[in-house]
Amino acid sequence: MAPKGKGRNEDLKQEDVLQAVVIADSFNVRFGPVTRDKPRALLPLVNVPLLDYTLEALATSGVQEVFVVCCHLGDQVRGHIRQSKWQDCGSPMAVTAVMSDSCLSMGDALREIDSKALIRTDFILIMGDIVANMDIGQVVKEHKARTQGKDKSSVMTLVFRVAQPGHRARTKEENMFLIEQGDTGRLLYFKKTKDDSRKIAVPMDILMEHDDIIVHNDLMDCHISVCSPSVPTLFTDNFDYQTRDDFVKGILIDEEIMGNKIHINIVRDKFAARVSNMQTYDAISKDVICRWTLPYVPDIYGSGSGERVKYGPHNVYCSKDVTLARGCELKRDVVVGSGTRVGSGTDISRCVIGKNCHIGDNVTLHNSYLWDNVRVEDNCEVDTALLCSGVSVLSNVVLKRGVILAWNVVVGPNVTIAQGTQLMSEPQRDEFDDNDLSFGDDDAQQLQSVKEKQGENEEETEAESYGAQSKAFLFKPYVDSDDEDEAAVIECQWGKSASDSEERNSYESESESEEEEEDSEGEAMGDFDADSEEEEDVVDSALGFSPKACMMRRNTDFYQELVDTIVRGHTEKITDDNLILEINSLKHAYTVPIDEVIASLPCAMFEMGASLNNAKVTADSKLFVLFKKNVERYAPLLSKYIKNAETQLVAINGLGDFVIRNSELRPKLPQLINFLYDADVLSEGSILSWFNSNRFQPGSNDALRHEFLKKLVQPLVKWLQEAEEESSEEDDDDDDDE
Amino acid sequence: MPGGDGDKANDLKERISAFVDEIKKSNTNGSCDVAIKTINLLIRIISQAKFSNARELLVHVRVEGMHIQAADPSENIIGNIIRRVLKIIREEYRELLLQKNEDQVSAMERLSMADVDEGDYSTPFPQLKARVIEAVSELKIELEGCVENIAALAPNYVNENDVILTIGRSKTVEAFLKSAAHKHIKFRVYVSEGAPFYGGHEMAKNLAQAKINTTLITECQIGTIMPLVNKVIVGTHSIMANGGLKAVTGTNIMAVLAKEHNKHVIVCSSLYKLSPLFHSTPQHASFNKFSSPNELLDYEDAELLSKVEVIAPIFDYVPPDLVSMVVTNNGAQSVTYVYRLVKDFYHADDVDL
Repeated sequence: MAPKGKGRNEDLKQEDVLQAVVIADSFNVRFGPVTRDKPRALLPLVNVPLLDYTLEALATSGVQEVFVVCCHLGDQVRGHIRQSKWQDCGSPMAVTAVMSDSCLSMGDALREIDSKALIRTDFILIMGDIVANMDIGQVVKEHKARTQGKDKSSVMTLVFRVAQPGHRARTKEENMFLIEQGDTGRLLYFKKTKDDSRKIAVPMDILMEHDDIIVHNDLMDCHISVCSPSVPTLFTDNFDYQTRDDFVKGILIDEEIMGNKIHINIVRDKFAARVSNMQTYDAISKDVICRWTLPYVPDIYGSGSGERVKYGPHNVYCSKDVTLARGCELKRDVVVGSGTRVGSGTDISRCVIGKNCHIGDNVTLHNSYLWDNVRVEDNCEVDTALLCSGVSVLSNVVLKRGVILAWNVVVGPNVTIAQGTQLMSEPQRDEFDDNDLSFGDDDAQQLQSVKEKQGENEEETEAESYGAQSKAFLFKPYVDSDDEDEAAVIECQWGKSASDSEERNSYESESESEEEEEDSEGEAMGDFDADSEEEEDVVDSALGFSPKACMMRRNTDFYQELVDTIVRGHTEKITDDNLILEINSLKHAYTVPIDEVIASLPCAMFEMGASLNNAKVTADSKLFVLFKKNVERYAPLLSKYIKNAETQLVAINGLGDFVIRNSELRPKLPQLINFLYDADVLSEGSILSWFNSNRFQPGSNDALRHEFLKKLVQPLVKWLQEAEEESSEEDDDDDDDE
Repeated sequence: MPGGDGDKANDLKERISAFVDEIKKSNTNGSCDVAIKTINLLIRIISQAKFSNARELLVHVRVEGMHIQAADPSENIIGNIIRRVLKIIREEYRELLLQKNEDQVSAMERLSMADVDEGDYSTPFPQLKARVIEAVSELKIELEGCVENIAALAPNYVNENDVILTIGRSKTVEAFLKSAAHKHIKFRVYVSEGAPFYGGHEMAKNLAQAKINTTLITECQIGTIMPLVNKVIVGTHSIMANGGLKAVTGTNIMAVLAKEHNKHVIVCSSLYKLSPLFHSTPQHASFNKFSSPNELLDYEDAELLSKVEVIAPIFDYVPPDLVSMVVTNNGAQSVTYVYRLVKDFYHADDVDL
């Protein structure tokens, strides 16, 4: 990489500058009390703020211009950027903070970006808490190639990383299921599976319209996406898009209308993951310590410039001026920041310890995260806990699993903090205010008033339970909406996640469900195919094949609605044009493919006759007369749908399904087809070509079905062929075929 | 041009940070590339430096050099080049001092003035800068020719019908073997693939393209192949003052096996790889680099991930008694002579930067 000349901005065309938008806010409270005072992007992960990892990853990918959208506690983020190395004159990347305190979601942030017209070209959209060593520039190149090549309508490329279900960096809330078009990598379907359900419903048009699809359950969202310049505009146009998931869903649903597409990119051998809650914080910290994120490991990109972190065996990283007393043991996967003192007899494993911490004698630290200036006095036991900056744990305190001590909390001495407790140094406000706080402006005065309001008794009791000298107040996870509820659940899980058994169980069950959904697509779609009668599942002896397996899947609700619409159209004498509009809107309402509409129409015509007379569908000759009349009456409408050879085949097949379903009508199939033929809806050529088609595998269910229908239609075809030979008097002998 | 100095300083800063970044991300293209980039930066640093005497220049170069070296202490070629440049500054100063003294004293006394005390390098010489830059540029030319010089020696060490074993990819060894093949010497090469980085794959491909009879083997096969081999030719990342090597992983086991079977181990190395530091234990920050476990294990493998500790060191230490000979751009040297070369190339005061 040659260093860029001083006038690099002038050298490059404006379009060539690779831009990125970093959303430096999570818009949720997954970190409980911790993110009250510091935005998530600035939380240290292995002693380096998360935002720095994100910016480094962007710089490595060749990004030249970055906009950091700062929302919650935005001035802290801006301050951090001002002091960062990116402000140096030699920096290859320009980082600009975009302040927008009013943003409540990622959608708002992008609308803000759009209103400022900052984006000129394809850009990278990334959260401010991503750790990645992958080359996002490569994804941008692929995206550009796509948009300039055959797929001009691609608006977004999402980056996913392969990680089996149950992987430590995969969170339950991020579990998802998606379908990719095999050859192009186009995203067809996307669904977050929040529960461990074993069944997944897939819209059937995806299965019918595409020959080659890949179903993924092994992917982890990296929250990195490459967007076309139109994306912020789309967010502005659709003000209900709150998150990127909303956007993806919206684009996929409106695909036919807008013509926009989304593609995916799967990362296999590089690292990219988002710190989205405590569980992933823990997992990604471990990944950094175990060097998966190379070169972003403590001994290379440690703590600031010049300061050297020494890397020892078993992944022990020590800064230069760490004081280790005799007899203390750093077992494995430990990072110790500069200026920290560790007392004798102390046992530390799988921990990250920040700068200027003081660890006393005979302390046991396991699987815990201590940020800067933390004090842990003698004989403490800390297992799987997060201790923010300025926390003091006085002597003889035991912190059970999953404890979170927010900024400047003091606990102890001589107490045991129960599992999963979250403490903060100031009393919590009531829930409504808390909600406000976690999203936006901080209001110290309000805090003060709430503090006064709160009963002093309560404070006293709390103080007692956390030790005589404590300064700690319980943080109750905000459980109002489902989202926050989930956060609480996940936070609890963090503490437990160390016990492997639970993890494995969930992994097994998930992998089972994965198998299921892969090998039985029919079952996966069972939800949609409500009319599938059980006896149809087996081979029907009368037919010689299994009807269920080969009939076109149909949406009964849609079909019923279609029949009703046509009946209503008939009785209310709605014009054809309006009826077409209604049918089209039905198609969208039930999201059925066009083929289903075509296949259903002739059948609906028949059923209409039946329902007008309040009769059942039988082989009653009266119904046939009605059908004939209706077909003649609605021939122009039918021709709108059944317009070419291909759609005619679909219509014939639809009729085939209809008679298979209504066994009484089976001998009458030639008659039905003949009526359509007379009304010029079907052409002779397509009837013959349907009859002669042999695109099915011999012996397969489809072929058997086709044979069965052929047998039924035989007389009509024979007559057609004869008529063709004679090439005259076609109209006379309608009755021949009966 | 007004403001030219500021622009130049910014430009230099940009170049240094780009290079530091490159080193940190291990984006380098071989050690020769690192050496030449370092020396280019040092030439710029010296030409932009403002100093009144040699001592200030030494301090300046050392400070800037430390900054670059801090990017990756295990990339000790950077340190070596900085030390070579410091030595050049000292020598130029010494010569200027001698000249000055010559002018002052008579020819009679000159004989007794063969040596001169540099003192604290505080005597100002206006021509020092130009002379240093000239000498450093010469060093740069020397560096650029290193690989060719070593390759030219190949016919002396590769004989007809030799069976040679090498490991991983070394540009120097590749040039060395190609040069022998170019002289119509027929020999056979076994290339050990150098897992987990598989540099051997590219090496084998390049050798085969040069019409050398090449076989790619895995590390496990080194033991079985060794009895068939005449000599082992390897490259190295650096040579330490005691003659020990810091070379790609697998070199040590290969050297041990060669010793067991009494085969020669020939090391091809440019002299800029000669390091005055002694770093043979993992406790030295400058000794080893550890790669990502990604090379050995799939990240997607959820079960294994939390249960195993993966160590992927990039270098091996090969003790000097396993090495028979070092072929340098100044000719072949015995391992026991390496300490002497170190003394020639580096000034004792510069060993600790």
